[in-house]
Amino acid sequence: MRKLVLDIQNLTTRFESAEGIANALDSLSLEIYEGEVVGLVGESGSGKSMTGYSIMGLVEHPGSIVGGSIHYRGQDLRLLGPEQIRSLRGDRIAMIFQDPMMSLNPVLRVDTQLVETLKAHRSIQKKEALQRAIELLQAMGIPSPEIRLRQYPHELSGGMRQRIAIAIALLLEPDLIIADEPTTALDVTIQAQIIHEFQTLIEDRGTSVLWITHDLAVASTMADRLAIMYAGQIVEQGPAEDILARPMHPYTQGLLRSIPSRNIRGKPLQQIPGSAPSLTRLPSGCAFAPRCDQATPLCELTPPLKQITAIRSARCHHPREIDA
Amino acid sequence: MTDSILEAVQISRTFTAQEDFTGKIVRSVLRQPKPRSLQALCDVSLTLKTGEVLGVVGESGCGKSTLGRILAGILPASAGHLRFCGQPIFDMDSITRAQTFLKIQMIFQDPMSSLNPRKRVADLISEAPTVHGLISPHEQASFVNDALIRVGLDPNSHSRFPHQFSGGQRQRINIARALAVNPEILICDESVAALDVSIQAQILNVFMQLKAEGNLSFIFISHDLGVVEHLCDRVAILYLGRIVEIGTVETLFKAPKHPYTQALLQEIPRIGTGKRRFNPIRGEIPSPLSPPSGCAFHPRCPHATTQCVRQMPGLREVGQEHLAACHLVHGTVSHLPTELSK
Repeated sequence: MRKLVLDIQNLTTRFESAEGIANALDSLSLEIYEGEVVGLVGESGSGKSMTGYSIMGLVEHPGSIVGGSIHYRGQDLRLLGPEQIRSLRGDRIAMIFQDPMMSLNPVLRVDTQLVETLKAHRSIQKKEALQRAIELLQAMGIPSPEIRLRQYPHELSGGMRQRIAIAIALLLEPDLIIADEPTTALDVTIQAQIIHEFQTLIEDRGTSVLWITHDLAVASTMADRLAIMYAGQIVEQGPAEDILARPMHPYTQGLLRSIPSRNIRGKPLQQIPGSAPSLTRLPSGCAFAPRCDQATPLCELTPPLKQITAIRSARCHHPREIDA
Repeated sequence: MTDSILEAVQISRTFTAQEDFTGKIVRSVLRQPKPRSLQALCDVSLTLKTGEVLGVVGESGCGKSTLGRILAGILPASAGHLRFCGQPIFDMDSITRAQTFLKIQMIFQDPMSSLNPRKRVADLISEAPTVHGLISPHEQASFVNDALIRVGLDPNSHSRFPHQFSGGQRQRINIARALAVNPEILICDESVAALDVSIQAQILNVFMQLKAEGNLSFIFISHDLGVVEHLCDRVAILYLGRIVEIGTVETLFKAPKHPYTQALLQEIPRIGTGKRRFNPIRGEIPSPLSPPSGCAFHPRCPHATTQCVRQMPGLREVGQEHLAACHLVHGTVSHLPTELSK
């Protein structure tokens, strides 16, 4: 039996503003097992980044987690005090952001930042810490790491910065890495290099990863399982290959059909009509119903999360397997 | 030639840091070297045929946006010339040149920053054709109505402001505005890159519909090979300011000749390959401030030889309508795999 690393149940994160109440996350349930890569895919505003922030305890006013639970190896993260969370964060659970400057301090040299991270969580000599940092930078594909260590982030290219941010996340050998669109801002050849090095490192260490992305193609090359998000909810979840070959939720089906691919070259793409609803003015019932070509009067009621097989679930009244 | 609508001949563009008067004095007193210049584009020649969609692909810093701006007349070229329907544009008097560039319109990546937030949609769309005398003021209302319908927007939204629209709708407004002056060429610079997948499909469909109407030719600048393969007829691959390969989408995607194109095609994540490992090429894109000697791609190329380090390869024919700039595909023996293993 594989062990559960992260167990999220019915998590609801809410933002209250003058425009109204918005559930950025709406009873979201997601499990991540040891050594597993879960791809969390959604369009802008679907709540995929907020899932990462909620796990890391980084939700700020006016937002707050109002319901549900997040268990990390049996420990309820919502019940931990700020000190306990801080010792877990960066050490056992690390996060990588789209913009590496979110995790890098612009006025500190790279070596300071790497050594600081190690010393904050471990009693370790500076020399030894530097050695570990050099090894890791090398593994991340950084040529002449000794020189890079003495530079400031602004002296490095975007790809180099992201490699260093990833190295900092991996430094303490965390159990779980939350990667929020880490390759979105990079060029294709650099993206391929970074994914390659990241995959090698997490496979060697058996690290679990929540890979957050808007790009189904990137997710499909990385993930064992996929979770598709729409308007704060996971609408479909299951093994990556199954979902891509036979999507069940009409939103997943629409997403897959709107991606240009070789066999429909030059033909009109099947588009999902309309655009994503505002979270403060969600339609009652199924949030996707107004854009769905398979909607029926039943869809005015909130669809339950249906467990369709042991490993697949969908939040839809009429889930149908369709060959993509 | 009658079938080419726009022709770029050996276009080059160099950027040099502007120096003010005090800067010049400080430099001469301190005997510092002159500011380095950056060659953003070098000897780029291409032909846009009437009615076709020509894709321009490359990674950041390769000069694809600079090329788009030069072709649209927003940015002057440092060398080379442009021909519109056979007429050299840079030799025209300023009035004729302005009228010619009116036929070439551009659509940018960020739909919000290219719309004036304080103007209503009707004014955004009708301003240019009114100024250029294409429509009279009393025709404005019906003109805007037709323009909005053409790009799939609700004609009743004509008095709204840009912030009241979603990202995809704003890009439709940009397209409507570009079309308002009856252009013959649209230059789309990453026009779908900022949009979500489902919205991107909607905008691509608008472009396909315009292409099917048959009155427009397109230059489609993108980093997204999937989108380019879907929409374009021919594609030019740019690396560090030069075209390294150009050909029809069918031949170039099936049998890329240049090692850079091969690497690009191997490294795009695609759905249907399943979980996989990448086999990336080494190194980063070199800085255009200090380009490598010889072939600009040689430091990253898995097949590079000593000739590649010394000598810059020229663009030469490697097949029908297919050109590549690589020593290895022109030598007596081709060292490169011709087909990509799928």
